[in-house]
Amino acid sequence: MLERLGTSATGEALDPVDHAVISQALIAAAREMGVKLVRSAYSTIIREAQDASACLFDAEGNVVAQAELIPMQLGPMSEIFRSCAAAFPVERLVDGDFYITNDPYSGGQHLQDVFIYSPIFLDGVLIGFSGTVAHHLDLGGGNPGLTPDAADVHAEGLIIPPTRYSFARDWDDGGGLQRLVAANIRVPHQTIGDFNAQFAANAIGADRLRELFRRYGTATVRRSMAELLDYSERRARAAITAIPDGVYTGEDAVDDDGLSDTPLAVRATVTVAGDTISVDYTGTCAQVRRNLNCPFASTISAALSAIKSALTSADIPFNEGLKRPIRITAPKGSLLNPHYPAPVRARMEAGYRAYNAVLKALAQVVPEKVIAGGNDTTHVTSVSHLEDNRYKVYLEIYGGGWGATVGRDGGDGIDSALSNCTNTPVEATDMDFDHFRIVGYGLIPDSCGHGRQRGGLGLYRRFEILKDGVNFAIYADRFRLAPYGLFGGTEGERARCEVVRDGRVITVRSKDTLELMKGDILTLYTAGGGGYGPAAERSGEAIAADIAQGYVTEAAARAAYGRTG
Amino acid sequence: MTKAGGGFAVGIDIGGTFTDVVCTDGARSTIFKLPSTRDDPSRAVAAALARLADEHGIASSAITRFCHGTTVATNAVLERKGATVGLIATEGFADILELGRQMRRQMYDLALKPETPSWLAPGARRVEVRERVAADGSIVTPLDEDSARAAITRLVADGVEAIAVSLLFSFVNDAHEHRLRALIGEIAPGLPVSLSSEVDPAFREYERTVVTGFDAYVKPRVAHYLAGIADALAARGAPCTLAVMQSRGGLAGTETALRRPVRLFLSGPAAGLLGAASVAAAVGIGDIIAIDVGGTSSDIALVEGGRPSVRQEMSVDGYAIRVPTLDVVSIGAGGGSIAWVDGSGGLRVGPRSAGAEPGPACYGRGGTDATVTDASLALGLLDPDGFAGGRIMLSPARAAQAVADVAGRVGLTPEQAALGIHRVVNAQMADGIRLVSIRRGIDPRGFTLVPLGGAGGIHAAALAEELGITRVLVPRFPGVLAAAGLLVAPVAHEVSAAFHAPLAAVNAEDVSGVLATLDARAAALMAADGVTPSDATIRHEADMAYVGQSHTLAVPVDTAAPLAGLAARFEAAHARINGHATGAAVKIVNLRTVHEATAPIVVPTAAPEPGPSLVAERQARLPGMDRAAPVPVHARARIAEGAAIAGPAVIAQEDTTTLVPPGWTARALASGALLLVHGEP
Repeated sequence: MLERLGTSATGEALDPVDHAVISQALIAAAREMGVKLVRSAYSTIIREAQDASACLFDAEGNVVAQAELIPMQLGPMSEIFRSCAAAFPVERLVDGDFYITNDPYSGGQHLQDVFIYSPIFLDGVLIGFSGTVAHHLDLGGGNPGLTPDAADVHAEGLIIPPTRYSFARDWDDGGGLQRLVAANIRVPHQTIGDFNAQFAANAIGADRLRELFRRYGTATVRRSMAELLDYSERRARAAITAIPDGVYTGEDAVDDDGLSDTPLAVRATVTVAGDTISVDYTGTCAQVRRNLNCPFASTISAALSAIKSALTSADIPFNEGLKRPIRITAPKGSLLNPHYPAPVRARMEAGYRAYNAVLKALAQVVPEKVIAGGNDTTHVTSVSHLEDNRYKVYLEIYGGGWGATVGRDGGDGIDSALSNCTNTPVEATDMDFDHFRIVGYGLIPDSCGHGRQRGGLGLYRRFEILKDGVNFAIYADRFRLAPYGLFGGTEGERARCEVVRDGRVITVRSKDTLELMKGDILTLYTAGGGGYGPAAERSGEAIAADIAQGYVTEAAARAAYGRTG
Repeated sequence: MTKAGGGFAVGIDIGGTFTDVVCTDGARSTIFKLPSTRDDPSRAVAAALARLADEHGIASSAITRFCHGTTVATNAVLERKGATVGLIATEGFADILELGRQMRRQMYDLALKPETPSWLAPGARRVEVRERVAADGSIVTPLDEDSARAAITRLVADGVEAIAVSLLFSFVNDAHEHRLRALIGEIAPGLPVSLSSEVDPAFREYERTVVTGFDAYVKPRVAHYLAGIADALAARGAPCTLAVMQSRGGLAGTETALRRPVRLFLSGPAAGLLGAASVAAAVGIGDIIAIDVGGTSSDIALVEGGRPSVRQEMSVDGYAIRVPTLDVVSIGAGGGSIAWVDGSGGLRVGPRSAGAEPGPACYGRGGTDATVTDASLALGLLDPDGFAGGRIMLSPARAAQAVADVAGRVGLTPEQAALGIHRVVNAQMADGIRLVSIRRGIDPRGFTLVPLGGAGGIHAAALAEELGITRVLVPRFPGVLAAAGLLVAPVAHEVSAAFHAPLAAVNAEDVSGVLATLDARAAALMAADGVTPSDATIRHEADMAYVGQSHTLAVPVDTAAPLAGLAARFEAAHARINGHATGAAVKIVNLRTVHEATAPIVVPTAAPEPGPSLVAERQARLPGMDRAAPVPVHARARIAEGAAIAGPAVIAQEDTTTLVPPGWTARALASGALLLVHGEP
């Protein structure tokens, strides 16, 4: 039996036709913001990798529609908004103001992700907010790469606490905030351009929302926004109700913190009770000295993504309503909820293990809805060079093999689940940088775990270094602990990184920095996905096809399956 | 080829179900439809020529122009019936085609389907050659011919039917690609080859590889197909060459079309849009928004100043392909779109469609879901006995039942539900129109809406009102506009080249020099299609961006003074489309020339038939009426030039039904088109 549409406080029902029209228009507007943000950005990390996201909010700051770009950024858009509202009351905002923050200890993620929220007014009345987040190439900090040695968050870059500014006074046309930011970052030209793209996308979202309010009236659009949230909530509760009540636990670990070889354990206890679900990360290791700490906003995002992906169908819009039946907690002082001023730059690695731990717990009760372990890592490299007093910074984020699922082999060479960054075209790097050249980029045969469904293949990218004194930094994971298989499937291959210098191989650790020399050949290999189900059950056709297309060699097929077809 | 030369010009648009034929000598037009012959489309062409001769007295020997719109390239992809393709890549990069951009479209899905067209050339058919060109075109590693011969020999031994070559930076220096083509010619003479430096000489290796792969994939099939049509023409003694429509809205001769067959995708919609533009141009209207409402989808496009806009990327079977295409936006809403109720109780329409089989519930062919067409019938907007020229009898009872089912599920009356279905689908179409207008910084209110296809006239006035548009132009024969558009299409060729330079460092002579080279290449293509230089108009464009950006915008270049005003025009375009302009340094990324030789405008029309146009009255509820009431029904064929019909009225004709809601007035123009105006007595 179908549920009826929500009613307003006045008891007036929402017209189903109005609602259909308005809700689709809200989603279209958020998508348009995302597209225009990416298309008018300057840095490769946004314009090519698309490491940015956009949302529309109601007047209370609840996400009602989002451009689905980067899950990690989208999860806590509302929480971060609330930190801003706490710092400067919404009631005192005027047209032309904006909130901005990147502070991990005020609800933010890592400093590179800058959140900007613009209030939207119509005839002097606040009707909502448009918000964007973008990963900025460089926000200052200890060195131009990835600051792996940062002792605290201050060494990772410029902290912008949740603050209200005025666009006309403080940003536009060389305003004070813009000058302050520009003076504290290494590539101000690109970065300020990327900020401008965020402001422009917010303005487009504002235009679209005002159009909708004008066309359909304030009361109707407000009710439709509320109904969008209620709808996602109802669907989420219905999906959770279908799972047997119980307490399920899952564990995974980050390889190490870059200082010792001790794995950083992440433990999730998932409690399903009726139409609610909670995730508690008690049992996770304590925060660490290096930048692997995961701010709580990122932890929330990781857990939400796991629940949304595994339990709800794709057609449920991700918004504030979806989050209502879900509770996420992590002990203060743990890797997943660190104390100020712990460094957090590489928080994605622990975030992925928070995601994996929830999926491993759910595998015990809904095996057909989960996925085997995959690359599930943000491998980031920075290849930078200072020449003629100007920095050139090349950041890249690498995909890898996805885990297999009950019905399908894992995806080959695709960015991991909490992210969705595209690669930088080889031709773009050749045009923009002259301190290195990419000389190889492809899938790695046999890097998958095997099973009834095999995991996806990892990928490699190989660089020839063209100048002395090139600074290389990496944070990555799955170098020591391989992606797990499920229900009899085998592990995927681990990731690795190496430099060949004068015929000698230098092994690079997953969290590392080194100075490269002209002639060095550097290769990063990402991890393959784990298999699902017993290898004996894989079909002969699938094995033969993998061999024919070069995904799996004959020798590897024999070893894994005892047959080649 | 552009001039009919006193003979007849024939336009044939071959669609999935019907083959539309329009034949004209400039004064008189003959129009008919034939069933398509999917197994061998050239049979429909032969049948059309026979019918022209036998029933209309037009001998094939009198046909001096033959223009064709085809779905052969698209079908080859949709049906996966293209060539077995081998791909040659730079050493280290054979997997570019498969890796793509390493992203996914569904963010929260765990089971991922491959999103790159790696099936064009799976791993076993991708080979590498040792070579490397730098970003400035200099040679880092010379082409190793031994590795090249080995690679080609391996592909040929594997039985490939075409080879795509896509090397890094071939758009800056194409020497290695050309050498590879020569080597392929030595090893496998006659094997079709597509070079990325010719198909799509632009930056971003994955996107260039995809379009080159598709080009090779469709090439043998397109060649076979066009040869079949040319044979059919020759067999009947027609003294004309075959011209085919390219997706950017220009005709090309067979030989030039075969150089880049990937440009033939969307041949049909491009022709339809040109047809719509010509109908408007015939009455002096240059700014139109065309909407072609089909069964499963609607195609929407904006024409400003008589010129449809062109974009540099399109989509076929879900794959983004970088080829110049008339900017037609397709949305998943049409007459066959099915109404449903989502989990929140919202009334939704589409994208699922009842298609032609089983079709809407009212077709009585087993469909039970309420579609937009069922809602139209339930509201009295369609004549159950006169639909599609009476070829399909509609069942009002089945429509009413289907609509009542949906109504029950949302708690509305059947009439409210039928109106709701229309409102929802109109909102989707209006949003499609906003996408091509408001979201590109263009105010639609000054435009005229031109509905084409069978169902456009039902929605046009309501759509116009929602968008603040006050004029709707209904062509005399909206159902065959694609075939008619072929007759007015220009012969057109576009040639571009990468030209990466900050504007500040560019001098006008360099730009002029590159443009002159491009012009020579375009002129050669035009000449191959029989156009003399004096008959062609030439336009120059630059793809530009702020220094540091990589997504470009096309900006017109003043040929006489190529740098004059360029930065300002770019800034204006950036502000219009992306919402801001920064005054920062600007760069050029590509230069392009477009050569066009236009054809005279011919709009098929027919003299009014005798008799009063008012033929019936029907209980109906048009948009703007607060309840159903008797509404006059007029026969389009009988409306005399200059006659005005005030709304509410329904205007019926064989291939469409036009609603004239209250507040609108319809007037028949001398050209044969019907102009609906809002707010005029």
